[in-house]
Amino acid sequence: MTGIWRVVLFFYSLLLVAVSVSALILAIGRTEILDSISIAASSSETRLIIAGIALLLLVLSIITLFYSIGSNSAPKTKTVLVNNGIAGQVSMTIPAVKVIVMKAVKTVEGIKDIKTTVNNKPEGVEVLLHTMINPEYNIPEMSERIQTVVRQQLEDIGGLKVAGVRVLIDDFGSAAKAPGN
Amino acid sequence: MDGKKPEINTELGAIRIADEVVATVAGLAASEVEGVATLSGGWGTDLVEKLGKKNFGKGIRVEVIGEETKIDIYAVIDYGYQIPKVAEEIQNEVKQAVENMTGLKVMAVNVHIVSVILKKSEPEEIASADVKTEY
Repeated sequence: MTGIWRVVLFFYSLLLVAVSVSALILAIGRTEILDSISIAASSSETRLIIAGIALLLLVLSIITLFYSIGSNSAPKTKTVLVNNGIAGQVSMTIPAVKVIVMKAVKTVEGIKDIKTTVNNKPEGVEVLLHTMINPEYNIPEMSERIQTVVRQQLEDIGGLKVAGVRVLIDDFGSAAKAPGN
Repeated sequence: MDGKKPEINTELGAIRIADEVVATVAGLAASEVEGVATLSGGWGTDLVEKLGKKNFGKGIRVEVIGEETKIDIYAVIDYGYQIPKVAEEIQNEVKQAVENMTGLKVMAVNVHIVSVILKKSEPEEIASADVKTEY
């Protein structure tokens, strides 16, 4: 977003604040604002000024609407740098990293549910896994397996440097059939 | 895609190539690389394509810096392929295709992996490891 658009957006937001505050004041029963508007609308000169401002705001609203919907340019999300060679850069979005993590975790038996957070740090990507596991499984063993497989997949498939894989057991999921029963 | 059109100066005059043409050449070259599922042009472009208008230049951004061209490619990769290798192949193929077909000097081909999806040929292999379907 360029500097001029930041200014436009600032004034647009400021106007929304003013409208919201006015609506709140009206809602608590103070009608002075309505009186002021009536007085302003009684003169043809002020009506013209109001019409001009309204037109300007309408144009700004439409432009802001189109800007928020997005242009043809490709999506901009947080990225992780994979490689910076002579031919150019190779980067990967955080959602793409999450897909690799999820596929890796799904190969580990005993996991009921998982939520992934990926942070990009100078020393590599840091993965935080909030997991819900089957209570029949050994937590340290399972955690180690998750860490190993996630690190391996990120390094092999993604070509990423992994700073760390943290596993947090949030909850235990009830097993439909317990092993050995 | 912005800025002035890529330009090749000859003795007889200048040859201007629309950046959409460069994007199409790059898009076709990138799509041919094994492991590339699709190129991502954002929801607007994808929607237009679903309505029937094929856009070979989607997911490609061409930037002209002086007489050199920089290309950004937004790709979706099939799961299972090594991303650095696929990206390197995209860079080589795109650079070669654009330089051969247009005569432009490609300064850099930046590859942005926007997503990773399952390969169409082996959905069952991955689906069998689905976390929530077991137990």
